[in-house]
Formats: sequence, structure tokens, C-alpha cells
Amino acid sequence: MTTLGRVALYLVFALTVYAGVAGVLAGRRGDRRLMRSARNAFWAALAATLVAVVSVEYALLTHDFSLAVVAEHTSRRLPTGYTLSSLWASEAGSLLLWLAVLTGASALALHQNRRRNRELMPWVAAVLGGIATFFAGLAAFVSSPFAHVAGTVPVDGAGLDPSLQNPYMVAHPPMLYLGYVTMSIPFAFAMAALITGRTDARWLVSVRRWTLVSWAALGTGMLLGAHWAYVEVGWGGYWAWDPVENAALMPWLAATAFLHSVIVQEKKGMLKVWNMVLVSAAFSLAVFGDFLTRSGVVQSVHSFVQSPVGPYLLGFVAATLAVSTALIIWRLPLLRADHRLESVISREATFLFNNLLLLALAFAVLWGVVFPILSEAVRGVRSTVSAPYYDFFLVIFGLPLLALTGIGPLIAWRRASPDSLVRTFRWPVVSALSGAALLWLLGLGSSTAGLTALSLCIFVTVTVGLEFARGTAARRALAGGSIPRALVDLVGRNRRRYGGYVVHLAIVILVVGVTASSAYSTVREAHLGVGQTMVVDGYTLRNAGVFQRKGPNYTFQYVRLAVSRGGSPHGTLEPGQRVYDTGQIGNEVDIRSSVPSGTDLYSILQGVDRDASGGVSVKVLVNPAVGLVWLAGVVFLLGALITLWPDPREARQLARRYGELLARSGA
Amino acid sequence: MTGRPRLVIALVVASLLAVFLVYQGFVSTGTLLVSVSQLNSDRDGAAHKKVNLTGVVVTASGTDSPLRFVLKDDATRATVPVAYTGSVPDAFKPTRHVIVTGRMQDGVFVGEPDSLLTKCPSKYSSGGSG
Amino acid sequence: MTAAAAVAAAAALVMLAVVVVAWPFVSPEREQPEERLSDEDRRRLALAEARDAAYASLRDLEQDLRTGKVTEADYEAERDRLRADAARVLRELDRLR
Repeated sequence: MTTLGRVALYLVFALTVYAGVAGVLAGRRGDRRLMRSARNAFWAALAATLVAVVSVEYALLTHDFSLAVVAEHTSRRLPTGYTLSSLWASEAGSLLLWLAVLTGASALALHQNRRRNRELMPWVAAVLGGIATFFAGLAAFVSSPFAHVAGTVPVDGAGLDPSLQNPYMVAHPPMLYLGYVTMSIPFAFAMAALITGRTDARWLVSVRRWTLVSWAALGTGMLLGAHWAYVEVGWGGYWAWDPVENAALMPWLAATAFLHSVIVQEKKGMLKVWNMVLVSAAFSLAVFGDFLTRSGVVQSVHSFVQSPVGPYLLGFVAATLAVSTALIIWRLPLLRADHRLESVISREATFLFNNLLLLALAFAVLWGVVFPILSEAVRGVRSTVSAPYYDFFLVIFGLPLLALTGIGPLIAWRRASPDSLVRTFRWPVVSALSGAALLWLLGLGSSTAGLTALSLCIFVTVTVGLEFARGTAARRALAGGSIPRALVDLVGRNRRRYGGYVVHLAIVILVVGVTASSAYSTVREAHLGVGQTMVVDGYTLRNAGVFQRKGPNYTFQYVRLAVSRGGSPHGTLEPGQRVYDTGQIGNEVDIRSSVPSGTDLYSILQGVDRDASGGVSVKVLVNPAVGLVWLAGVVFLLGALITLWPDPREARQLARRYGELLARSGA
Repeated sequence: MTGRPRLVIALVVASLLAVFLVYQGFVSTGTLLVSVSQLNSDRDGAAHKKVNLTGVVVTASGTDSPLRFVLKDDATRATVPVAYTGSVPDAFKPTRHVIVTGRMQDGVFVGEPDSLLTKCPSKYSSGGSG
Repeated sequence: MTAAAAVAAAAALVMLAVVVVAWPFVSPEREQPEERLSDEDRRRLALAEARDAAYASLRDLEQDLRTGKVTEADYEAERDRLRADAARVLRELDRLR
């Protein structure tokens, strides 16, 4: 079976090389058969990749420890589900997953556009072929899942790290890969547009859904990782500004900027160069993110041993930047804007500021990540940055971004007069200011950044609410009908705008959750003998004894903490430690979430007294409103779905616009 | 664009850049990451300030508080005793690579609470020992 | 899976791939060369986009008026400007036909 898999992988490489070359030739000669052949090659590459995937899964399920990926990441006692998902626990296996998503997405994108974008598609195939060739080459020759284990074949494997035996860790890598890989599609279209000189907005519309999918997947992947960190890694937080977390954040920021910036190009024919730069940045950062995760070049909790794949990935990123920059400069004359920016008080300007701030934030994060490497190269000693650095820039760039989220949708195009500004922003500003005063009175003034953030959240919420309310009212004035009917109509007719507003609401919820749980949380550490109590923010916790129980492949030692609030009992928390049969130790925190407020009571067992007296060291946190962070993820997905939903009216308009041209040229 | 919008945009870009400079100049220049041998040889004054120390765990005292363990340099034989309080990551044990933040005090490296990190050993490593 | 079976399966996979890739060349359908857009066509396309963008902006403007984002005076000034834009684009499109 592994022989079959190996051959399949070489076949993928050959097919992707062919697809790239065929794409170039099809582009230069206008040969439709070559184009069809290139498209077929991607389908064949997908099939061959899947054969390789099945081979590896087969080896995993049959415990074939002659393969390194099986020996190093599974064991005989590992539950089947985790055995299957350990495909992406190993480096080579995850590369295979990347390749599968890439060939699949490429085949799908080419298939979707088989009757459209005729001039672009051969070059799209060429670029995608190039990207796929690179990753297929890595998987086939540099880091193969079929590599033999070094030395003798072990009887049993090393097993999967207990902290990875968790549903979130099963879902998190595929979700992130979906995000990283699908960014190739918009990038390929952008390059094809530059190569063919077809810099009209057609490619933008075609890639809109792919960009949304990529962006939504990256966002969801990050939240899944954050949730895993919160419940499994267990330090009480959910985001550590770890380089690997940042690796996903940077392309997401660039993609966010791109998603917004294309609106301006479609409506006003401006920011064309920006859009080319942003999509190239998003793709480059996605591959760079993969490099960060694999290469071990930056110290991180996720840091892996120096992988052979690292230098190649870095070289690929450099090549991508070089090629895209060259293409953009070559086509600069075609990317001239149709209109000028006439006023900084306009919607066009807010989009421009949006781009600038998002890029600045991405750059700040990037700098924080590469700074240790650079400082070591320059001074010989590594200097690292940690949370305070990132928090500083998050606040200083994030708060204006939050403000823009509210200002942008309401401000007029071209030039907003003072009159219209007063009219549209009166209620949001008044609400935000009075909200700020109220919050300050409630004692939330302890954190200036926190108070500002929350006030801006009120501002944005009111603007979104007004948009929905006024839009519905206008719809009813035009077409009558009930309020729900008008609302559904409104959203249906303008999915992008109102889906976007839902996403903005998700961001607001996220900001509230993050602000509350970081700026206003309480932490207490204590040593408790049996019967002793500690008080954390109104909760009283009493040590009710240390116990043990057996699990399927571990022994769990825990302390029972009886919780009470205001005198009445509030359940128990049982944080503890799992000692696995393999000898590994896993700390298991216990969290009590309060549903209405989303506040968590978070308990960590730090140590059990050796004298077996039942005394323990614990750390307890109260994280207000942290549940909102997870709720934000759900709303975020809902908004993305609304925006993704196909709009038949728009499809008809596009067909009309581009169809009439083709009819005229007699094709 | 011409005239005033261009000026405003330029000012905005300039202030964004200024933010970076202000931060680097006044707020922080980052914490040094040193190996055990760099710490022992007082490279860059590492023995006198707060640093991130990295090394391999040699021996560890179990679940006491403060946790006491000995850290060895990755390459040389240099070692340093460490005293640490706070949460201990799951993967912590002898032979693991760890990073801990703190400073030297009287010959012992005192770690700041909750600053102990281990490198995730099983993911993407080319050997079980990570 | 025995070695022989693996080799056979691998061979089958490779052959299938070759067939799939070569199919467009051996299939009996007649293929015309790809159409290309002339410079004039590209100009027309850019104008068509500008026309649609102007119409969309007019619709957005009306919606903005209805939802109170622009004042009556601003609306009228902008509407006239957009109409002039659209008229100019339509004239150029006509000229190219």
C-alpha cells in the first residue's frame, strides 16, 4: 500500500508540473484543448493525492510502524478517531493535507470558471500549477509521509501527545489549512490579471467567494486554537501572541483589508494597486505562516525541530514576493485609478485608512515575530518580544480600526458634508459618550483602553442597528410589507453589505469579550489545606479533599473545590492532573461557565502537597464575559455565510456586462 | 489625489511609522533570550537582568513548590539551578527543552511565575524526545 | 496488499491520469482557438464597468437618501454629478459601437 502511495505522490508532482506548463502554453497560444488538459490534470492530481492520503491512513490504522509518521505520532492504544486525525499531527502528513486541499481547490476553481474568464484561466492554471508543483515537490522529495522510520521498526509507537487528543486539535489544523491554501486562488487570479493585462474588475468578482472562504476559515481556525488553548493548555488565557498564532493572524489581517478594499475598486475604480498588493501580501503571509509553524526558526511553544522544509518555504515566499512585485510594477500604467480621492471625510478615505491600519497592525505583528531572528543576527543574542509589545500595538491600531468599523458604513461617498455627518453620527456618538459615562460610573474606568474599547463597541453597535432599522424602514416605504419581511428582503438584496454588518457585530462581541476577560479579570493563587477556603471576586472556594479516578489510558488525580457565592452553593470544580499509561502528564483545568454573563470561574491545580495531607496549591481566575469570545465565532460564521450566499441578480448583471462583449466579437 | 487629501494621508502614514519609533525608543526593547552558557558567561550582562533562559531539563524535584530543577545548555555542559513557582506545562520533565523568564539571584535562576514554557514535543518533531 | 497488487494498482493509476490528461486532444470535438479581447474590446469593457458602477452608485445614493445618510442638498448635487458621469460614459460607448 505504501508503494502505491509513493507512486501516487510522484504522479502528483508530474501532474502539477504538467498543469503549470500546459497553462502557460495554453495562455500563449490560446489553445482551449491545452487548457482543458491542464484542468483535467488538476483533477487527476487531486485523485492521486487522495490515493496517497488513503495509503497513509491505511498505514496509520494498521499500525504500520515502519513509517516514521506512524511510529512518531500514534500508538496501539490511541483511540481510532485520533489515529485517523494524526495524519496532520506529523509534518509530512500535514503537508499531504495541504496538497490535498490545494489540488482540490485548484480543480474546483478551474471547473467553476470553465466557461468564464477565458482569457485569464490558462494563466490561473499556470500559477496554481506552479504553487502545487512546489508543495508536491516538498511532499514527494523533501518531507515524504512514506519516509521510513530511522533505525529498527518499533513494536509500538510514541503515541500522540495528550494535549493534542482533543476535538479542537482535530479540527484546528484542517480549518487553518483551508484558510491558508484557498488564499492561492485569489492570488492566482490576480497574477493572471496582471499577466494578461485584464485589470478590469472581473477577477475581483470571481475571487470574492474564495477570499471569503479563506478569511472565514482562518478566523475560525484561530478561534478553535484559542478555545483549545483555553481549555487544554490551561493558563487561564486564550491567546499568547505565540509566533504560530501570529502566523495565522497576519494573513487574516491582510485578507480583511483586501475584502474591504475591493469594494472601492468595484464601485469607484480606485485602490487598484492596493488590491494587487493586498492579495499578494495575504498569500505571501499565508505561506510565511506555514514556514513559521514548521521551521522552528522562532522559539515558540509549538516550536518544532528544525524541519528540512523550512528553507524551501522561505525561498518560495521570497520568490512569490519578487514575482508579484515585478508584475505589479510592470502593469502599473493599467492600474491607474478612475477617480481621485477628493476628501478625507469620505467613505473612500475610510477604506484607505482601514487598509493602512490593518497593514500597520500586520507589520507590527510581523516585526514582533522576526525581531528575535534579526536581533540574533545583528547582536549575537536573541531579544524576544512578548505580550506587552503586541498588546500595545493592538490597542493603538485596533481602537481606530474599531472606530472606522462604525464610521465607514455611514459616511457618504466622495465627500461628506458637515450637515450629513451630524445627521448620521449624532445618535451613535451620543450613545457612545453616555455609555462611556455609565461604564465609568460602574467602575470600569480602571482601564482606559478597556473603557475606550467598550465605548467604541457601543458606537459601532448603534451604527449597525441604525443601518438595519433605517434600511428596513426604507424598504417598507418602498415596497410595503411587514417588518420581518422587509428585513429579509433588505438582507437578501444586499447580502454583502448586511452580511458584513453581521460580521462587524461579531467583531464587537469579540472585542467586548476580549476586553472584559483581559482588562477586568481577577487572578488569585493560594495554598489550601483540606477545609480551607479562598475568595476570588465574590466566589468562595473550599478544598474538599484530593481524590483519584481511573480513565481509559490514564489515572486522574484531582482536588474537589466546593464553590459558593453569597453563602449559597454553586457546584464544584475538579481541576487535576492526568498521568497517562505512557508516563506523560496532562494538566486538566476545570472551568465553570455562567451562561447569562459568559463569565468563567477557571481553576488550575498547580501542585499537591507531598505529605498526602490533602493540601493543594491552586490558581483561580474569574474571566468576565469570556463566553462572548466564543459566541463571536458563531456570529462571525453566520455573517460570513450571509455574505457568501449566491445572488442570482448579480450573476445576471455580470453575464450581461461580460456577455455582450463576447457576443460582439463573434466568438 | 491632489492637495489636501494627499497631505492628510501622508500625515497619517507618518504617524503610523512614528508609533513604531516611539515604542522602540521609549517603551521597550524586548527581553534577551539566552542559553545557559550565555547566562553563565554573563554575555551581554545577562546575569544581571531579566532574561528568557532556554535549555534542557536535567533533574527536577517533582511537584514541590517552588519547583527546583537543573537546566543544561543545549550544546555545552554548562548547567544552572532554577527555582520556579507557577503553572508547570504538561510536557515538563527531564530531557525537555524549556524556556523560563527570570533573573539570576545568588547563583540560582529565579523564574517569574507562569513564565515556564516547554516546546511541544510530539508535533512535527523528527524524534520522540523532541 | 501484495507487491504485485500494489504495482498493478500504481500502474492503473498512472494510466488513468494519462488518459484524463490526454483526453482533450484525442476527443473528436472540434476546438476553436480561444477568443481574445482586442484593445477596443477592453476599452468597451472598462466603459461598461464604469457605466454599471455609475448606475450602482446612483442606486446607493438613493438608498442613502432614504436612510438619512445624505441631506437633500447633498443628494441632488451628487446625483447630478453621477448622472453626468454616466452620460459621458454612455456617449463614449456609443462612439465605439
